[in-house]
Amino acid sequence: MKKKRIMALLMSIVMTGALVGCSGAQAKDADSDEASSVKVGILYSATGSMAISEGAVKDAEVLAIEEINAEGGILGKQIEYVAEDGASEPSTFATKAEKLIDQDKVSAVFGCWTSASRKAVKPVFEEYENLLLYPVQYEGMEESSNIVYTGAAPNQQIVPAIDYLIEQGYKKFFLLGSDYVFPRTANMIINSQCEAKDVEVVGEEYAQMDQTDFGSIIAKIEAAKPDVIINTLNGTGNLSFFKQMNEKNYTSEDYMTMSFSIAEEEVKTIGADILKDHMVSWNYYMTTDTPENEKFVEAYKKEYGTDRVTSDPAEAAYDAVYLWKAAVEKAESFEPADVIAAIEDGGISFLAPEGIVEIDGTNHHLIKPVRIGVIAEDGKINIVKETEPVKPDPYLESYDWAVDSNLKPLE
Amino acid sequence: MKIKKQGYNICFAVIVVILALMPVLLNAGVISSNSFILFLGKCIAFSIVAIGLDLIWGYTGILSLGHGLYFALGGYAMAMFLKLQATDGNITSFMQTGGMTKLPLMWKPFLSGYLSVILIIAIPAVLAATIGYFIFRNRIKGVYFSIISQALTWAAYSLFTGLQSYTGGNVGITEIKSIIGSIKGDANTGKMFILFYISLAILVLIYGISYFLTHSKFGKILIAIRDGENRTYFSGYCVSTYKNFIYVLSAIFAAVAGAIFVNFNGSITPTQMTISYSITMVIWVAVGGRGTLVGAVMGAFLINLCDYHFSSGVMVEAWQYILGTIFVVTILFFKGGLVGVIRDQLPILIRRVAHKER
Repeated sequence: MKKKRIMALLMSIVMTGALVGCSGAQAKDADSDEASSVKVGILYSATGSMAISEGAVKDAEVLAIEEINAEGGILGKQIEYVAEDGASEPSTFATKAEKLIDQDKVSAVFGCWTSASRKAVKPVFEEYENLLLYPVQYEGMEESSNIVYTGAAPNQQIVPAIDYLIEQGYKKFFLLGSDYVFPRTANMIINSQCEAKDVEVVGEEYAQMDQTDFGSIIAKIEAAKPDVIINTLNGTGNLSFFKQMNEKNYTSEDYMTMSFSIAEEEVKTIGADILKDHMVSWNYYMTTDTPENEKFVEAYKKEYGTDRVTSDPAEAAYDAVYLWKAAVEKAESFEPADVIAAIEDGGISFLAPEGIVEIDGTNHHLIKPVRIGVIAEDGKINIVKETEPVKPDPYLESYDWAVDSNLKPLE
Repeated sequence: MKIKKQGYNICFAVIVVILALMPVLLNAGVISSNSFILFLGKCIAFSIVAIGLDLIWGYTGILSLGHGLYFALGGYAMAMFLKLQATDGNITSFMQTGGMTKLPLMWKPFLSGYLSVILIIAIPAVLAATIGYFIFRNRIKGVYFSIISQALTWAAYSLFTGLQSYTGGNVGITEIKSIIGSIKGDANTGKMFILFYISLAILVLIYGISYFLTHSKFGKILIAIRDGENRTYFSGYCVSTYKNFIYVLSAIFAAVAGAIFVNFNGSITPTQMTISYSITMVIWVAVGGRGTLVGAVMGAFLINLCDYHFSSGVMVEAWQYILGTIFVVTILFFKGGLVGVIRDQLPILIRRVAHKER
């Protein structure tokens, strides 16, 4: 009898301890918020399938924060960051975003890579009226006053790349992508663009996210005989696809590709010999020739090792921290509402490694240059075309063909 | 014997009381934020699905590695209703991207709240009953059942990510508010607690149903099936019907849990029906302790609380290893899980220490 009672008691103590202990720990966190520092959140996957890609982006942001702190911080305050793990799982991203905003009381969050995670946290930032800075190029068709998109909108990556291909005389396009929202939306845009410009789309195929066998897709490509493959595969799909094309001895001369998800990091994993002479489209490459970039690459390598490479998302993430700094300084406040007001007022700019970038106050995207690159044998990406900074247009409202095909979603 | 059972109930009651006291703790400043309560709301959902798993695994000996499927089905049904509330019955943006102009037929029933609630329960129940009927009638059991449950989950996952214009693909259904409106932020604390207490009441109800079932003659038969399936057959019981019933019931619990989860989470994605997510659910039950109901609840709370707190700073990567080690050690040495340790090992330890002191 006595034993059982002890048992019940012990169980209760364990549970209470767990609950209260945990919440006690939080209370302490909140108290340690010193007046001389300001908290920001960093929300990427440290575990799971996206950990490697998102880790590089996180590193760039930490670098920027450390640089700012070394130079005296923002408005006299040092930036203190709280890093949370999204575990490559959208719901976890939402939970952690909520934790950062509500519990850690951060002034802004830098985070998310996949569209799924961004869409999961979007309502959280809207309801709590906080600010997310999202550093990855994406499919567009979205706009939120609580998110700043520092990566490319479709008209700063996809549309100019297709225009460039048409200019170069390519006439038969094959669309290949992983089966998720970015490729689906990108191809929807490309389809209407091609239709308007009288270019033929000879095939459209989607691979499962973790597909490794591209035999049947390659057979379809062979049958369709395109001049160029528009590649929106993501992750491991790229590795398998290019390896299998290589096994059939296909080079860029047989099938040219234009990829939207292959940056320096991916070139390293897939192999520059395989990707030689293929095309990519981004806003920034490690080879971008600006003094700011030289400094950025040097600092990145010094901090994280000489074998590391910088890429477009990492650079956009680096810019995000500095743009937030500029907005805070303009608003003279760390309050998200004030910072958002300053952003919407316009004129927040930063002399970034990719050139000068400015937040377009009307849609929270960046005005940034577009660069078409060709992969060289040594793994570097050489720029073959560079534009002046392009105004962001997430819904493609300034393109007649896009308006005609009714691409803008209902709100 | 009777008191021992009461021990479990006392323990469950303590958990419920602690949860019920959350508003007081929030006001007293012990808990610093609303988001933690929202997170506990998700934990309530997790503990409901854990109870369901405990019923089939702990009591009946059927190891399902695919309960994420039912969890997600309930979640999707709820999310579809809530999404249509948010869009006023219009089509969603992912449908438009998929080239649709009208609401597809499969979404139409979710315009009605009552019908949605029925479907949250009916869809997984019918699916589980159909699957269970063929599996259990053909006396598929043990590891073969586990493999089939995994394969089904995988198939459903592929289907949901593939049918992008119907389900939102791998983004799922996002930007939804809870069934009683927005629950986030300081202004909505009241609403959040209403939802929290509704969920807590559902947890108590489901615990009650499960407790009643497992402590009736029915529960004895379930245990008999676990410990000696053939003997139970020979005793004249139709084992497959019992198995199918408990499988359907646990699927319903999982679906209810999914529906609650969506309310707190504000979105549902196909990740919730992946195999790894389903296995995580099994880990909750295993670590908490099988065949005790309260063990499942404790496991779900404990592991998720640790997940929540260890995911920042230095513990991020270490936690994955620690969780793995806990799971392995539990399976190898502490079959009873946390409850077993407290019930069996701790008293022995205390007695030994007390003995030495004397």
